Amino acid sequence: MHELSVAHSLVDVVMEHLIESGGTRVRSVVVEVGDLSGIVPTALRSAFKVASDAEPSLRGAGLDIRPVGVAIYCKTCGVERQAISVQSLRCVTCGQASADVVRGRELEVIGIEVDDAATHA
Amino acid sequence: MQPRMLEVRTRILKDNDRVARTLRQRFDDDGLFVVSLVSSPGAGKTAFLEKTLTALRSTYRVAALVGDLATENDADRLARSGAPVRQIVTGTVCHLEAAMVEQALDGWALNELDILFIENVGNLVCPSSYDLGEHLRLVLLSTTEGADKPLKYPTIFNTADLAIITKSDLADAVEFERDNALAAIESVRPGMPVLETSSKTPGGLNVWLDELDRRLAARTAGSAA
Repeated sequence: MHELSVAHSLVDVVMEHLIESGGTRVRSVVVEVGDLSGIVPTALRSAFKVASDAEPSLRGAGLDIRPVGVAIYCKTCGVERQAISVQSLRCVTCGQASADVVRGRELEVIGIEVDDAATHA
Repeated sequence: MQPRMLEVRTRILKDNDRVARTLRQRFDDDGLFVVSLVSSPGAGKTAFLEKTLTALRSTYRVAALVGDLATENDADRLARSGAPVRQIVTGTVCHLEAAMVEQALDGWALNELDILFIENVGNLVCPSSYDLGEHLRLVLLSTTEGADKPLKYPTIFNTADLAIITKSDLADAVEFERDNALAAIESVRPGMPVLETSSKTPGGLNVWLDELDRRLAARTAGSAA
């Protein structure tokens, strides 16, 4: 259960962007979580509730988690392809094994929906 | 006024990544090779590391950092090798982070060392997300565990560079499904080398010690070129 540690880092990242943007409050946060990130989305959601509750401008904010499947570079096909699964890093098209993971390790904030001061004025 | 959407792309663990990058640069500047170890609890990390430190001490200047949730028992065991050892007690944290490593190294003259080992907390899930600045990450799997463990914990195996099978001396007694274990590792991390070792039998670590020698030689040749 390292999702709480990750959720605290997530709150820090969101707060940095909020302050930089001049906004006052965060309505929701959009994150990408790769299937090979080591993070369980449901655990991150619970942890985010706990971590965001400590920040008044983040309290009650939604968390939109977008899973990212694993993609590998397939030498045989010469292009990026979905992997069969996290348990089987093989090209879905031709079955070639590949350790060259091009997607699926993401653990990133991609969007933050903020309110500006005028909303409350 | 409508809320506005800030479009960003920021790694959630960017602070850890930054500390890890700084550490790796520092290790490189000091000519230090850093090896980390991850495994489930009880896979034999500490015995493996104790024997490794003992074997290497005549040739290399070695040291170890060891992470544990609550006790300093592992550091005491490793210290029997005679190598300098520091414990990182993580409390409730189930993994090591780069900042913990940085803090634990405070005051160490890294340029007087050749190899530093970092033993992570026994856990096959949480350590996978955190870069510690290491050059080589070992994942240990003991013959007494199920051969399908790599399939159950694909992420940690996927982040490793080299797999070590421990307790090979017990393989027959516990009916270790060797072929299945090797296939599982290959499935989650195609091409990763696997070394089969024993910390209990004479020469049981030779295959690993030879591999480490090779990697150190390649590194020295690379930096001289």
